[in-house]
Amino acid sequence: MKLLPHECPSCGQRLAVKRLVCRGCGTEVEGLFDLPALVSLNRADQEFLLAFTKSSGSLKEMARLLGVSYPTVRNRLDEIIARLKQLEAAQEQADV
Amino acid sequence: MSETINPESLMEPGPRWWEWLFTPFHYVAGGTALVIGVVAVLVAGWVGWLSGSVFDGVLGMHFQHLSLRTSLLACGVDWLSLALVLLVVGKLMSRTSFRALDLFGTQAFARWPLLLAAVAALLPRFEQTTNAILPMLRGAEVQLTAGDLVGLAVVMLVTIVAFVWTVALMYQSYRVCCNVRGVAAVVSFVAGLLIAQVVSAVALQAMGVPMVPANLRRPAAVSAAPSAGQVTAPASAALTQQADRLVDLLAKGDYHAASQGFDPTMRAALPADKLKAAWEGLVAQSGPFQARVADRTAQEGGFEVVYVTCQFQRQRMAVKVVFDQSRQVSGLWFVPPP
Repeated sequence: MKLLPHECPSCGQRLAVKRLVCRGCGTEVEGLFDLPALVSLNRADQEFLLAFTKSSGSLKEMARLLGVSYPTVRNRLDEIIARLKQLEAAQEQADV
Repeated sequence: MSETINPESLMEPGPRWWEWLFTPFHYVAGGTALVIGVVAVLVAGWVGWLSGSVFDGVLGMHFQHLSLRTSLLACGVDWLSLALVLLVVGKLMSRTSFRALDLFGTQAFARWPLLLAAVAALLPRFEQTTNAILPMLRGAEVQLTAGDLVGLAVVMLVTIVAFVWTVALMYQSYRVCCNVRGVAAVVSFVAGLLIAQVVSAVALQAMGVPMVPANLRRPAAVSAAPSAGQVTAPASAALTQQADRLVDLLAKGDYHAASQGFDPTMRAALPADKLKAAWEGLVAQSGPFQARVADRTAQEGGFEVVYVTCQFQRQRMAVKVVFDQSRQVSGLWFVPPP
């Protein structure tokens, strides 16, 4: 599956969704929908969060899975949290 | 995005050898680091004890013979002082929660390069060379070979590298475990290091661990309250060096050289042949000379006296060397160890 772009290749601003399509019947919905902050993370961060959720939020389990130390995983999670906060702040600013 | 993920895509490639050396805490922390670190701290303390060096301070290393227990205790105090201070600093600086176990474990692990410094200090004659450097800088005549100086330079280089490496690992431990970055990380780490140095010094003093080696203490401490016949704190490392050298020459049988440091009266009273007879009498009584084992200094009747305790095959005896104001030998006795 192609990667979902979330930044405008022209001006660098966040992209929004204009059209959605049903895979079953082909119905198309058109409008202006914001991309959730989670979707705006890069693929590696999204995979990290997915694995984190699947491991019941256990940093120890994540450390074992990734083959790194506990504080390294903790720091990685902190980085993602900081990026999510930035994305949310940017979205609020855009809404204003 | 795929709904399922492949754990192998997330897994980092294992650490390469240089990562184990320079960025180990990316891969190791917690209990594993604690076990490795505590073993490293204890082994460094033990090897330091063997080499006559002690890690007396977070970043301190001096050459003095202490008991094994004191040596190990000092290493433990150094580690815990910095770990505790960085725990407090980290709580103040970090915006995230972190585990004390990681910080304590990785701080212990970070001290392993000090083992290299302790091993380097095992170099033969290194202790004698370091003891001779200070008197030499003060203008005293000391006998050092080119090999001694090269050995000293090598050990100093290894020690400096070991300490720089240790500080780098300590910083990395703090940065990774407390997740503090940038200038704030550097400034807060340096501040923590300085505070921990003071904390460890105070703790070691309170436990009775001498922070300054005997041969570096100020001679003024000796003249404060000397009493006849009482062995007090060391007066002069230069005189000790001179007395050691005299004993070494006697042990080698070079009586002519040994008498060179005598004042005119002593030279007349105890020329080389009589000195030879006196030494051989001592050897006949105590057995062949084996080693110098200790030096003690005192002020007796206004004279500086050095007792060089020697191990002979059958017993220990001390060579009592009395120096006059011009640092010439004005008296020589063979006496029981003080």
